[in-house]
Amino acid sequence: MAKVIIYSTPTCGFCKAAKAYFKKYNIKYTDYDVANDTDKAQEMIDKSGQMGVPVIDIDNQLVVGFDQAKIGELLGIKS
Amino acid sequence: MYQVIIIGSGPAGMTAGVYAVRKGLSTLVLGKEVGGQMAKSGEIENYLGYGVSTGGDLAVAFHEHINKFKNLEHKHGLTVNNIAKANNGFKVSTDQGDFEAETLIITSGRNPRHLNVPGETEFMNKGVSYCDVCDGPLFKGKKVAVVGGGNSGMEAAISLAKLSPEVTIINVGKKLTGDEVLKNKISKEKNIKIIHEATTTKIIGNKFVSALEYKEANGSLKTIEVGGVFIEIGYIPSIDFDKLTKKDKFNQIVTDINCQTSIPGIFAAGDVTNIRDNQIIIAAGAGAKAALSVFYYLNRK
Repeated sequence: MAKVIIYSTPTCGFCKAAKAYFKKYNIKYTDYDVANDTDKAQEMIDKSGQMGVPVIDIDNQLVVGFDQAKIGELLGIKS
Repeated sequence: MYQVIIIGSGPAGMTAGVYAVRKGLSTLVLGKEVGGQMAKSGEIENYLGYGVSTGGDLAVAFHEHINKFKNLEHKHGLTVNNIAKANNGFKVSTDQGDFEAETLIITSGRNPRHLNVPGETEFMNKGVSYCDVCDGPLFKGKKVAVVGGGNSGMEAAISLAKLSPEVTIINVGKKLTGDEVLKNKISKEKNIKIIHEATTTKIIGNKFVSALEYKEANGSLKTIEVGGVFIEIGYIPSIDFDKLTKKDKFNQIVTDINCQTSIPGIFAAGDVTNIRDNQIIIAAGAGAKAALSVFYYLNRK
């Protein structure tokens, strides 16, 4: 089972879309709210070199933005 | 070959998709980002049925709704590069292959206008943003600049002022344009500064944005230190792939009241068109009309 982390903010539409996608395929994930957690915000910026959300970490492979095709590939999902 | 391909998966495109399949048409929706501009919008209280919602929630709701129609095919995360007349209809070329259909509905929406200054693309997502709803929260505690003195700029400044110690609006005009209500709100915020007659010349930084340079009316260059730059200077229709239909002087696709473009068999709806108002509920309505127009068009062929 892949370890999935999503760095998100409460108002970000694509973050919600990503979480809805995870829910649809029963993917367990950890959600960090970088609007309110400055440590995790810095962690996200250090990992990805940029400030856009969502940043999705799948077993240490990063996807910036809700790139459904790439995420599906990394999780082995055909959708 | 499909009976209709819909280009764009925002409210116009998704609504068109549902109407098309319910008329029994073989339908494919192609889009880059599910929800389109809606997914980047903040609070919405004028899309009926959802109370006070956010654009993101609406985008998810629309997506879940269209997923219920098993015969509505949709592909996301792709870029449409070109449309051309072909065989008995049209060919749509994308970065994930080519598709053919008898008719097209273009609902590709709009994209934010760029300043086209040095540093703008280099610092995209590294301090430069076009969406304060998406990215504002990450600039908590940082000084920011908002380029743009219209409604979008003012709304961005007002919401950023809640998080930022100082928001500077860089306005190219002599005064703010847009609604009085917003101008009043701005004048009440103690941490919003406005610099008029200022043209942004450069965005400066190292790994991330550190400053913005602008030219004053008298020609002299000034710099302000900021940790973020939000660019809100309007939108351009997403029509790069469309060399077929007639556009107006703003590059919007010209349509008649039934969403018909200048090309028989091509229809368009939503923000990409010369519609007067750019609202989710209007785009959705236009998407429905466009799909019905496709149905009547195919019946008469």
